Amino acid sequence: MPRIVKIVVMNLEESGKDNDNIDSTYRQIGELHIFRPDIICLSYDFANTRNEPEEVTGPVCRKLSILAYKLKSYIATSFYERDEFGRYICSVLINRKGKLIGKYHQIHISAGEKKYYKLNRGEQLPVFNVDFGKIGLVAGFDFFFPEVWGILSLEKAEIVLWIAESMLYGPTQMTVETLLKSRALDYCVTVATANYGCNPPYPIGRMLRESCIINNEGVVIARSGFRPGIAEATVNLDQRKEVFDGEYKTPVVYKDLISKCRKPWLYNRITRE
Amino acid sequence: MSRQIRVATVSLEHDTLVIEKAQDVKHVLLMIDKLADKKIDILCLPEDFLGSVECPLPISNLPLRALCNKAKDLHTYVIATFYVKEEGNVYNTSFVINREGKICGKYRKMHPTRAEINKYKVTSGKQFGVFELDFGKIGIMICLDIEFPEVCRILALYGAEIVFWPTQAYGFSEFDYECKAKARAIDNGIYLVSSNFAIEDPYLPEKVLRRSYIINPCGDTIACTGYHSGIVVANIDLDDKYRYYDLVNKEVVNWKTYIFQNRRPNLYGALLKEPCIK
Repeated sequence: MPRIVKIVVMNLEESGKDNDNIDSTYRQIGELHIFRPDIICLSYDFANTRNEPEEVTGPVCRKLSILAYKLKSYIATSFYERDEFGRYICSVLINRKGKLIGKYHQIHISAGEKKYYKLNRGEQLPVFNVDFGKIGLVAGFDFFFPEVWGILSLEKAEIVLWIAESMLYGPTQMTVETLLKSRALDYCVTVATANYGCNPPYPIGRMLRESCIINNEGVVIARSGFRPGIAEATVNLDQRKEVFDGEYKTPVVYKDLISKCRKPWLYNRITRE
Repeated sequence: MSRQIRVATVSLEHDTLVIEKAQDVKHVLLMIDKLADKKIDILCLPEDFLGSVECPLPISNLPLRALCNKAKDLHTYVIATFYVKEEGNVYNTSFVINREGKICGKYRKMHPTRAEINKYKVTSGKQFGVFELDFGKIGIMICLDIEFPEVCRILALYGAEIVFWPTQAYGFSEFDYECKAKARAIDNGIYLVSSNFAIEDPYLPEKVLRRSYIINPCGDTIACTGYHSGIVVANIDLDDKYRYYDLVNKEVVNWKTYIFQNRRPNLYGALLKEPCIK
């Protein structure tokens, strides 16, 4: 039976991060039941925890667990976590029963995250088994390191969720979209990203952001537009990119073809300082 | 002091490969001659522009010698890629010819295609192609090498500022390889120069068309041959890095340095694992 998955990404309103509005965000998540999602991806730190980091047993995960259970959907997001060792940017995946099934700490920390929030770096890039396949999470700045995507792909992630906040890291809108499509093409994964939107009047000269879903052929199959809202798409995870291999004319799964051509024993330089 | 250089890339008519002109370098030399007064610093030709896959050339082949002479005449570096037979093996090799007309480096394709391996008995190269030239460091990858983000990353880690990509690849759409090429440039803060083949009119419906282009570290295409054969030249300042204003620290930073300083190589060991295919 094909593994058909409904993905919903939320393009939340940035001003929704004001504490008074976070409850409204939770209400909006609750209203997603009409889409019958299998997985929902929420924007980076939508609950505005950066000044008051939480534990994984804190309010964000508790509230999302209840919503995941009600929606019978997986939910992924990130928030600022604190534990006995320090602070992290923590991305979590909650299952359809409302149980936290995985978390990962962002492994690359940007200058701002370092300076203002004294964040520790994560040490692992896990891939999570869900009832329809394997999911990888990428938070914020980790996006800009192809090594992260390569590792998730080698661990057989089929969908990678980029939980994003902004493009303040530097590149232009075009560079970010190019990289997103390239990640999907390079690693033959479905990429879904949740970012932030804003309502008009748009400030002239300011970059507008959006959330989108890109299939494993690098095609944008759903986008939220610049305004707050959602993007939703149905993907068949068994629909793999098959190609004719040059002169042999035999159909092969592209990812397998490329994987067989890798020469990892020559890539040592990647792991040296 | 800025390091301004002039980079040229060639898009050759594909028919020159399949008609009697195969392994005849004259048509290439005629094209390059048009650059005589352009004062270019480096020129890249497409992969296997001599049509040598079925008949690999000895390393002392005449076309290579002719190209060396031309490089000397134009006082430019030339990157020429074709199949050569060396020590009993066939390699898909890029030669770097210097301004004096001497071969100053060669790179053997590390990731040959299945057809190259099985049908044409091509042996893989084992070393990355990074070369120190008089204006800076360049890297070379050939055709399928682009599919592996590790290749460009390693070339950049070895200090390559421009990566040349001689190819004859189509990709699955025009978008496919251009997107990957731009991503390699952005990810690694490099210029990427592709050299490919073109097709003359009439265009064939449903056929992916190819072209040669030069992409800057922001991922912008700054020169492109279009779908016809020809040569494009771009001025590049190798000291004009992709900079952005760091809002947090309120300073201008070089994007490549910023990204490379934040890498976590000790966590990337999984990339060295052998492929595991069902």
